[in-house]
Amino acid sequence: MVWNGYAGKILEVDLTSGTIEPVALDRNMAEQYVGGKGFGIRTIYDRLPVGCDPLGPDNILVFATGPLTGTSAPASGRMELCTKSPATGLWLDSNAGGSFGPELKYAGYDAVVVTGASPSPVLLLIENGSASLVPAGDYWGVDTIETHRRLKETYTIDHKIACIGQSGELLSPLAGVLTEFRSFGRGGAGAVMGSKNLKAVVVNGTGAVMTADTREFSRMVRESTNELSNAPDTGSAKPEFGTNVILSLMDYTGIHPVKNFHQSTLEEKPIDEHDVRNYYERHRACFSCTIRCSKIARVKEGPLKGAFTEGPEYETVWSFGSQCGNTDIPSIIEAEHLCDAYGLDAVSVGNVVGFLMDCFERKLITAAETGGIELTWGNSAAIVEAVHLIGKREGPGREWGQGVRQLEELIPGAQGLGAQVKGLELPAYDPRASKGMALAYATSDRGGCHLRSWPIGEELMNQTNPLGLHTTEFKPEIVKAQQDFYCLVNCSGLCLFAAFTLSLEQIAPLFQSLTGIESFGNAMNLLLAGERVNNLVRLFNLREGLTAAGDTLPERFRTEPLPDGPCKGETVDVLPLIKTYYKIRGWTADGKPTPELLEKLAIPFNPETTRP
Amino acid sequence: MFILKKGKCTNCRLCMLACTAAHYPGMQSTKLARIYIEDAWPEIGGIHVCLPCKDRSCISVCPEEALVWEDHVVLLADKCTRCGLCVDACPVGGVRLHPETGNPHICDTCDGIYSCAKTCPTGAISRR
Repeated sequence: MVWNGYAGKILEVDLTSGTIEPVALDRNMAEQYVGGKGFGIRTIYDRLPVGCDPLGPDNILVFATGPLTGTSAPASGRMELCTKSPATGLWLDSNAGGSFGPELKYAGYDAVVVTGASPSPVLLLIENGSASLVPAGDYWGVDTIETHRRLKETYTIDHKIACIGQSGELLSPLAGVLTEFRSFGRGGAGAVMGSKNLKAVVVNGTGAVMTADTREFSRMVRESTNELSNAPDTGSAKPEFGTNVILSLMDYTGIHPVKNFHQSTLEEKPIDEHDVRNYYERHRACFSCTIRCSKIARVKEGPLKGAFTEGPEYETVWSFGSQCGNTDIPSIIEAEHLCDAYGLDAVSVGNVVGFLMDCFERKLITAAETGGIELTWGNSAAIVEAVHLIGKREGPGREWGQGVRQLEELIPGAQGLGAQVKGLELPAYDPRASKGMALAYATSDRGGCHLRSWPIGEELMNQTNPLGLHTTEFKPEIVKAQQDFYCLVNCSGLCLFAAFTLSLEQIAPLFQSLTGIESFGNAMNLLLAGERVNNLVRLFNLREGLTAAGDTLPERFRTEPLPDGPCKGETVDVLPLIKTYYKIRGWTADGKPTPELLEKLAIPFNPETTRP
Repeated sequence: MFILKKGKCTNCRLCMLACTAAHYPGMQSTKLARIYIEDAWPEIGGIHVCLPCKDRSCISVCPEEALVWEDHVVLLADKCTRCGLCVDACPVGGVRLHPETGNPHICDTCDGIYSCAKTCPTGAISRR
C-alpha cells in the first residue's frame, strides 16, 4: 500500500523475548485514530491486561508520531509517548518536541510499540529498516545529558535519542523521558521505561515523508506559516520571551499560585518575563518550528555561575519559583537543569518541593526527616538540594520521589494539603482563580494537567468576547471543545502552540493535502476523531477503576478561599460544572459514555471489555 | 552567495526541509538536503553549505573529473565513482552524500531561488 503522510509501518518490540517485528499500519486505524495519542489508545486499549501493574512487564509503551510529524508543516516535530501511568494508575500520554519524532518517520515507522521487560539494561537501536536491542549496562546510572553525549559519540551526531535518567531507573512516578532537552515529562513514563530495563531508544533514518498533493500542501504550509509569523503570540511574544510571556498576566490576574496554592501574591516582587529574559543566551526551536519558544538560559555570575538549561519554561519558573516562595532565578535554572539530567518532570518535582515546604512550615515534618535541609519558603539552596535527593532517591528523596499523593498518606497531618488531581501534581494555575481551569483539571484524562484544555485563553485573552474567570456559563462547552481539539492536535504531530493560533479549518487542508485521506479535509471530521480518541481514553480509565468521584479537585479549593490578590475570597465548587460537562459529552450522570455515543463515534462496543 | 549567521540559527531545520522539497518535489525530509545543520546538541552546530569558494577544491580533487563549474558545482553522475574525496576536500563541509546513491550532493542555489534562505525564519541564512 502506498502511504502519504504516514510511514505505513509500526515497529513491534517485545523486550521479554527480544523479538522485533515491523507490522503494516492499518488503514482504518489511520483514518479513525489519526496518529499520536489515537494510535496509543487504540493499541493500549486493545492489548493492555486490565488492572496490570504500570511498572510490571505487562505494561505497554507506545511512541507514536502523527501524519504531520517530519514535514514542513509549521511546528510539526512533535510526538506522543503513551502508557499506563505509575503516577495515576490511569491513562498517560506525554508529548514532546525536538526531532526524535521526525527521525522515527524518516527511519520508516509511524510508531514503536514496546512490550515486556528486558532481563538486563538495553537500548533499542533503529536504523532505517533494521532494529536491534543493544546491551546498555554501561549507561545505567548515567544521567540523560551524559547518556546523550556518549550515544552520539558511539553512533553519530545525527542519531536522535530518547532516554531516561537515574529517576526513571529508580522507578519514580515523577520520571519523564528526555529527548535532547525536550521532555515527555508528565505522569511517569520514565519509570515505565526503567521498569522494562529500557535505557534509551536511538534512531536514525534517511527516508522521507511523501505528500499526496504536493502543490496544495506547500501552499497550505506557506499560508499557515505566515499566519503564525504574523500572529502576536507566535510571531513575536513567544519568540522573544518563550513560554514565560504569560508570567505577569498570570500574576496580575491572580491565577499564578503561590506557596503550594495557599496564596496568589508574594511579599517580594514576583518574577516576570523580563527578569527571565535577562538570562536568555539564544533561541532554540523544535523541528520545523518558526516559533522558537525554547531558550538557552545561562547564569553569568553568583554562586550558581555557569548553570544553564534549555528554558526555564513558564511552568518551571512557577514550580521552583512562587510555588516554593522563591524569586531567585539562578536556582530555578539550576533546578530545571537537574530535572532534565536526572530525567524528572519539572512541574511535578517543583510541586512536590512546594508541598514539602508547606509541611515543613506547618511543622508536619522537621529537619530530622528532611536530612537536615531547612525547607523554609524561598530557601533556594534547599530547593536545589531537594531536587538532587529526589533525582537520586537518596535519604528522604526515596519517599519524596513518590509524588504528592503518596506523601499526603505518608506524612501525618498532610492529608488534603497536596495540590494534585488523580495523583498527578497540578501545574501553574490556581483553580479558584479560573473556573474553567478547575473543570479542565478535574476532567483531564491524565490527572492534574493544563494541556488537555486551557480555557484561560477564552476566559481572559479572547479579544472579542472574553468569558471572564469566575463565570460558569459556557465553561463546560469550552472545556469539552478544547479537549477534543487539543486531542486531535496530539494525534497530528502538530504543537499546541501552533494550534492556539491556527484554526481547525486551516489545519484540515494540511492533513488532506498531505495524506490524501478525503475525510481529513473536513474540520468537523477531525474534531470527531479527537472526540473518539478522548472517549476511548475514558473507557480505558473507567476499565482501570476510575469513577465519577475521581473527577474532582482537592477539597480545600472548595472550602478555603484565596486569601489575597485579585481573586481574594474566591473558592470553586466544580461539581455543578462537571454535571453539565457530562451531559454535554453525552455521558451518563456517573460519567460513562452511552452506547449511543459510542455508536456515533464508531467505537466498537463490546460489553465484555467496555463498561459504559 | 550565502551569508551565514550561526548565532541566529535555532536548529529548526526548515532550510533542510526546503532544500529537499526544492529538489525532490513530494518528499518531506531533511535527509536529502544539500545544506546541513550540524546537530551538536546542546550547542548550536555549524551551518554547512557550499559557499562557494574560489579554490573549488572539490572540483580539483576529483580524480574522475565528475565535478564541473557552471555557475555552481555540477555533478556528472555517470563519471562519479562515489570515492568521497570531494567531501573531505571541502573546507566548509558543503558536500553531502546522497543517502541512497552515495553521490555528492552540492548546493545548486535552486537556480538562483535559494529556497533555504527564503525559508529561514531568523535570518541565520540569507543571500548576499
